[in-house]
Amino acid sequence: MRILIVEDDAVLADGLLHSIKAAGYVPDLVTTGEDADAALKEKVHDLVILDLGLPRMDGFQVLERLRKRKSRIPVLILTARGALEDRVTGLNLGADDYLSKPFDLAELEARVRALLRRAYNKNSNELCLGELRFDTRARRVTLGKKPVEVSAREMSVLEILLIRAGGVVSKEQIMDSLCSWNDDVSDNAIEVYVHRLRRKLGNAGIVIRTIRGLGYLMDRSHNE
Amino acid sequence: MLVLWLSSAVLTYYLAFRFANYAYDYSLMDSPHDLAGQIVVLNGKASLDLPLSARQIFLSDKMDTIYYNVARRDRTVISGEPDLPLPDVIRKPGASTVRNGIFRAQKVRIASLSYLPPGLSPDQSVLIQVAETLNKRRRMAGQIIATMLLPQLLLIVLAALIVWTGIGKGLAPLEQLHRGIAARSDRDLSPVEEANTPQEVRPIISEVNALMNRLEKALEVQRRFIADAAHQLRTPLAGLKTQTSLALRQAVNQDTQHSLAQIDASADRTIRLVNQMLALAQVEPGSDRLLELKPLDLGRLVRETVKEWVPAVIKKDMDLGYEGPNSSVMIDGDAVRLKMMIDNLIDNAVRYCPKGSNITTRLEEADGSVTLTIEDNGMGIPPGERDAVFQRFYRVPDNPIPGSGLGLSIVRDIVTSHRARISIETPMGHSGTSVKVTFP
Repeated sequence: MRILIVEDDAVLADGLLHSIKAAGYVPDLVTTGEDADAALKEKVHDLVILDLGLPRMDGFQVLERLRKRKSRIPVLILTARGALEDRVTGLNLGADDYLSKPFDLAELEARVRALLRRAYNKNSNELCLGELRFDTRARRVTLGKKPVEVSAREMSVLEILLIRAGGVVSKEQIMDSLCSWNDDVSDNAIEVYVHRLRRKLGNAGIVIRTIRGLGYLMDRSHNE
Repeated sequence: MLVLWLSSAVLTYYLAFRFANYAYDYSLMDSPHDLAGQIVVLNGKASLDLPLSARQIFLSDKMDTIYYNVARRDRTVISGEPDLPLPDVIRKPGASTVRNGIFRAQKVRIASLSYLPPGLSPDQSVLIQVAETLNKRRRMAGQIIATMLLPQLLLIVLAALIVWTGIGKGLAPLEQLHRGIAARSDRDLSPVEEANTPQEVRPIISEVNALMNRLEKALEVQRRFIADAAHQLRTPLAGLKTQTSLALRQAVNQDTQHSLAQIDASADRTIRLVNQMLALAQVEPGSDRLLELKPLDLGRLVRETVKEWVPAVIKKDMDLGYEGPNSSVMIDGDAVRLKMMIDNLIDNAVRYCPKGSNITTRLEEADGSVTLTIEDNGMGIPPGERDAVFQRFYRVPDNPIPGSGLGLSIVRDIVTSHRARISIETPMGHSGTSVKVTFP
């Protein structure tokens, strides 16, 4: 995977270069907007890390011109300004994600991975978390190699928790996702489904936490 | 003004008395003449022919007591009170005078007439004196004063009233202006309303407004500088952080690893400080101009913000929860700033609590006000420090946790700009910190 890095600060650019290389991708570096524009026209890259505060043709312009050329290449913008407007403008202009400087390097790497996956794994219908695999089309759940028996409703609950793994899902959201069924689902019913899922997944290092007043969170259990 | 009136009253009394005297003197001065008419010459000497009934009539007066005295040149008293005082100067016959005197410890008015009975020689003239007490005069003077002074007093009172209300009305806009300016927060630099002020004050107000404008511009320049400086710092800091992370992954030996970890920690502190400085510049009162308090659902904002924090909190083995309604809780506020405030408060709780702690955000509605509480069972803030921690860059002495000292200042500024109140308390039943923000 070839990744274009557009950054004018020497130290940061150097760091990004090394990080991308270490992650197994092939980085190219340009330091001005014009150079970025020219490089992107070649269409050899799979992802762009774009700093917004560039001299001579800033990041927004590069982005605009890129999208005008109908390019769908994923773009991650970096900005020092961190203001809401920058983020909104960037996303509106066609960026796929944004990170404000200074950032955590691991976070940058994770987002690059996620963007690449999203862009180039469009056919994947699989949700994963640790050993857990959920095939959304075939409606099949496996832990490691073994299939897991879940009822239809449990599967819906599992699906929404898995889609948002690592984040909080409220009971209302769970209820909404079960709404396609004829009966209304009560609070207690949801608790029951969660309880059952916990039992089935507990040994595989998957935990469903109860967050007081807010809902549930599915995650990999840590080694405590 | 009262003094003026009193002195005028005194003056008037004297004048009134004088005029009363004039009035009564006329008739008093007639009395000696009447008596003179009764003087007859008997055996070559003057004497008074005044029958008892006539005397009684002569002496009768409703209000005053009348005394008289008729005496010869040689001081022999023909009739009347012998001890009626004599005038200092006895005039030629025919001249009557009137003067004040004292008789038997009373003040009296005395009319004197020197009279030469026909047929007698000049050295046989007699002195006729009639004296009366002053009651009539006093009463008249009193009446004059009463009739004069009462309307005067009324007039004065009325005039005072008119002047008072006039001045009051004239000063009312000034008073309003005064109250309006005094009521401003100490950072409010918006121009003062000129339209309804009296003309005399307008030049001053216009200058004051110009001054405030200059001040505002100067402050704005300062704010911009801080914001720009903070921004400029971010890119080099990003470079620093990135290289440190890379180096940490490759660290060959323990010593290098240790030093790098220290560098990393220091970089983090710097980054945090820069972020907080920027945040503070954004929410400082004065940047209030851009602040609009619109109706927003605080319940949703709190729940969403807490949800964002949950993953980070779980990594630290802490429990973060929410207590409160699941429905909307409406207040007037600025969403961006309020989120910043909640983020800062939760961040504080997370940083100052050891592993395994509980943090709770609570939202309560009571009596038309909404209270947001962030409570933890961590280190707590000593009661003596609870006011000081809101100051910029203030850190509680011996505080082991690194921090910028700006978090609570930011929170306090946001609280103030929302006209809310904030207090730090000890939670019920356990140690720790409870930060309450109450919105009107």
